[in-house]
Order: sequence, then structure tokens, then C-alpha cells
Amino acid sequence: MVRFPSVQWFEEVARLHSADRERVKRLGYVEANVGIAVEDGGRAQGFLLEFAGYKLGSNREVTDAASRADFAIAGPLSVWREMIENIAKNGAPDLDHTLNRLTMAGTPLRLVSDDQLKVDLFFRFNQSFQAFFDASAGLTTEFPALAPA
Amino acid sequence: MTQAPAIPRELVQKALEKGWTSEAAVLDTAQQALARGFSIQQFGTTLDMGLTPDRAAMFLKMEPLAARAPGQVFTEEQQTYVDNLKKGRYDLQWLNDPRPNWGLKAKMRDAERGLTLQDINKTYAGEPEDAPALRTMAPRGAVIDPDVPDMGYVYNDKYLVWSDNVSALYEEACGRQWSATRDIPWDELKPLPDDMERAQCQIATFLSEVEMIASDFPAKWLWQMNQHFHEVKMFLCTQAMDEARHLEVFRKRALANGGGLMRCLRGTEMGLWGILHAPTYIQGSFLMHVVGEGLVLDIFRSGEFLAKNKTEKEIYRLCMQDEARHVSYGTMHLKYFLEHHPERERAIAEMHALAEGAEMGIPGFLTNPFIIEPLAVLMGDGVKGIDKGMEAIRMVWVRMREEYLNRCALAGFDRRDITKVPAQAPF
Repeated sequence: MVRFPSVQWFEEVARLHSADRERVKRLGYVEANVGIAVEDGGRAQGFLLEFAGYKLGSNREVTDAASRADFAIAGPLSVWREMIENIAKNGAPDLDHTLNRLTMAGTPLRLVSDDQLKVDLFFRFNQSFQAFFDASAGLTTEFPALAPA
Repeated sequence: MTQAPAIPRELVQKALEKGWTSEAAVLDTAQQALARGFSIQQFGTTLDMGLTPDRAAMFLKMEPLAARAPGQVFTEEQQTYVDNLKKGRYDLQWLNDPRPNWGLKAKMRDAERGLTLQDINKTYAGEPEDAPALRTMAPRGAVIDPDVPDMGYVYNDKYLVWSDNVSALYEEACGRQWSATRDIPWDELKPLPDDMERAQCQIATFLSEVEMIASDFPAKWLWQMNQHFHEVKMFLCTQAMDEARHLEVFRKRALANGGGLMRCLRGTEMGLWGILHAPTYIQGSFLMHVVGEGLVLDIFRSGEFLAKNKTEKEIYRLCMQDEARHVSYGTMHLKYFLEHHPERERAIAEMHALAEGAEMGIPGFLTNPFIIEPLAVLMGDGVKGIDKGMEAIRMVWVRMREEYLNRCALAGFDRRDITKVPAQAPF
């Protein structure tokens, strides 16, 4: 059981994602720093995922995910949970739980960046980001409430 | 004996208009060409393509193959070389050529990813010069014969074609190619209610119609770009392929699920005409890469959002990736163009004048019932839910406008305070 969100959770997903090397390479490499911002009531937790080539180069917890990343995907813990559980249940997201679907309207998840060209990275590498989160289907995740800051 | 056909007066006139100075020279050259077995039509076409008296004379000076003995196909120079080869004498001049940068070893930044354009550019002949001395196809950094012909390139200044992200985008495009036949789960298509299938098919028809402009447009300008800027030409080749695939995939979608191709509109064709026949590359690039593809990128995002099965989900997601690269090139090209233009203020003023008209395409696009109503029907899960679907269209309006203005601002071309496009949908 791995806790979401945590450095360990992203590491485990990266490991599972990398296991299918052939598919990862076929989708194409990624050069982007992606922020993940998880909100829970008044609390928040942020992570910076640095994708380099065909792997997640590094991943660490940060206080200001949006400003340090090319773009951040932000939203409530409940929505992240629903997405991850949906992926785990189906092995891949159903039609209503893809990253683009959840961010398209700016709700329930939203893309955050002050640079449109960097937001466009989310579109350019979208299939790879989706495949990354799809790999979490192989993980058992727990979702405790975020700790107070 | 067959009499040689008379040379039409119009052909002579055409040659004179194209710079031939003597009527006698035209007639003499044409007669020689006919004697060689060429037709009047071939001669006329060659004139259209820029045949000059010098080039014609050079060609006609060569002894016709038909007049030679069997096997005698070599020029004098070639024959000398063949004779030397027979004696075991090799030329080997190429081994003694100057090698100003010999011994280079481009290093891969990431071995798993492979040797990229950025890797080799870092090692040798990296960033192109602003204005190359020659107009040849010779690779940047090569030793070039002094008497190479001029290819007639029109775009010989870097700012006219370049963007700082173009090498990365080329590599990205090559790494993310896909097949509309193999990579789309066509067997996941499910029958849809009639109104939903019609909505999907109307959108697929529209996209089949508009996408290929982004193949035709770069193809039209490619040959005019100096090969010194090969990265740009290579990227535009990937774009042409991307868009061929988009036409393919949407045509397939329209014809694969019990529906069919639907309506194409005059207004759409007029918009495409404007791009195809834009008088300069930057104007067409702005209209297509920044405005048109920016809008279509949002349609692709919406298509993924609205997909009713995994087939459509995958189609739109893959197209979205491709389209975002094109928009990214266009935005950064506009930025480079404006930052490096020798008359920057004039260039900005001209682009604003162009944008005034181009932006009218945005409300035109977003009040087109053949575009927004099918989207609204899909968003509302059928005609009965179209009102709900229109709420989403209003959201798309705001975002399309915002993203367009953001890209302009990023390029140093701020339109936010002067655009006439309403901030909110007027419905």
C-alpha cells in the first residue's frame, strides 16, 4: 500500500511505467517538468516531476509546484483519488477520467502556468503523461488526508 | 518526310516576356528542341519553369544520345575518368580535400534517446547563420564547389523561417509518429444514436477538409527556403505528414461507424484559400500555425473530452499532440521573426494589420452552426441536451480566445487590448 501523494508513490509509478520499455519508447520521449498540486481543504502538497527522455528523471516534494514546473496539474485530493481508483479498477481510465478530460474545463482539475508555450507541453506529450498515470493501475494506493502544513 | 511544326506565335511571345531578348533565338532554340524530339508543349512548359537562353544552349550543345554509337553515353570528362579507372588510376581528390573541422565526434546527451539534431548541432555547424552566402542544397558545414548553381531560394534570411525550438520539435515529431491504421483501436467503435453519429461525422468531415491545408501550405513554401535552414524544412515535412494522417484518420472515422461524410462550407473553403494563397510565409504561418491550428488544437482537446468510445479518445489525443507541435513552432517563429526583423516596428504594424482580419475568423469559427452545434450535441449527449452542450461551447470560446492571446503575447505581439474578439460568447 503506497500513499498518494508522495515521492514514493511517483517513484513506484515510474518503475511500473518503465517496465513496459517498448511501449514507452514507442510513445516518444518527454522533456517537461510537471508540477502536481494536491489540495485537501486548506492543506496542499506539491511535487515536481522532471521527465527526461523515456523516464522520470527525478521527483521531489516542493512547496511551489506551479512556479517551479513548466505547468502544474492541480486539484482536490478527492478528484485525484477518483482518477487513480478509476485507473486501478479498469486498468486504464474510463472515458471520464483521462487527464485531458479532467483538465479541459479547468475543473475538477486545472492546468496552471503563466506561459502558454509551457502549457502546450501538456498537449504535446499528453499520451506519455496519460500512460504514466495509467501505470498506477499496478499499484495499491491509499489516500490519507493531507497533513497540516 | 514530315514537316517540322510551326512555332506558335504565343510561344515566342511567352519567351520574350520571360526575358529572352531575341525572337530569332527563341525560334532557333525551339526548332533545335523539336529536332531533338521534344514537343512544342514540352518547350512551353520548360519556358514556364524558367528556361533561360544560356541553359537551353548548354543543353542543346550536348550531343544527342540518339546520334551516338551504342555504349557511348559518357561526356569527355567521364570518358577520361573511365579510361583512367581501366588503368587502375583513381582520382582520390576527395581524400585530399580541405577538412576544416575533421575529427568531430558528436556526443549523445541521452544514449537511450539516440543521437539528436541538437547533439550534432552542438558539435558542428550548429546554429545557422543569419544569411548564408549561397543558395544551394549543400549541407551546412560542407566544402562546396565554387561554381554551384543558384537554386533560386527566396527565403534566405534566418528570421523569415526560423524558430528556436524547431530542432527539438523535429525530433519530437519523429519520435511521436503514429499510424491511423495500426494505432487506433478501430474495433472499439460502438454504434451511436443517429444525432450523435451525425455530430461526430460532421466534425470528422470538417477536420478532414481543413487539416490538409497544413500539408499544402508548408509544401508550397518548402522549396523556396534556403537549405541552410534544413531544420525548418525537415520540421515542415513532419507537419505535412502529420496532417496527411489527420485527413486520413477523420475520413476513416466518418466512414467507419454507420455514418458518412457530411457538409463542407463555403466559409471554411474561403478561410483555407486565405492560408494557401497568403502572399508571404510569415503571413500564412500566422494564419495557419497560430490562429487556425490554435483553434483546431482546442477542437481536438474538446474531441477527446467528448469521445464516446476509446477509438475517438485515441484519435483526438494523438492529433492533439501533433497539432500542439505545429502551434508551438508557429508561435516561436512569430517571436523570432519579430525580434530579428530589420525593420521591427514596420513588421509589427504589418502583423497587426493582418491579425485584425485574421481574428475575425475566431468569432466566425465559433458562430458556425456546423462546428459548434455538433460539438454541443456531443457535449449534451444528444440534440435534447444541446442547451447544456452550449454551456461548454461558451467555455471553449473563452479559452480559445485566451490561448490565442497568450500565444501572441509570448511572441512579443500583444493583442490583448486591441483585439475585437469578444471576451465572452455572445449567446
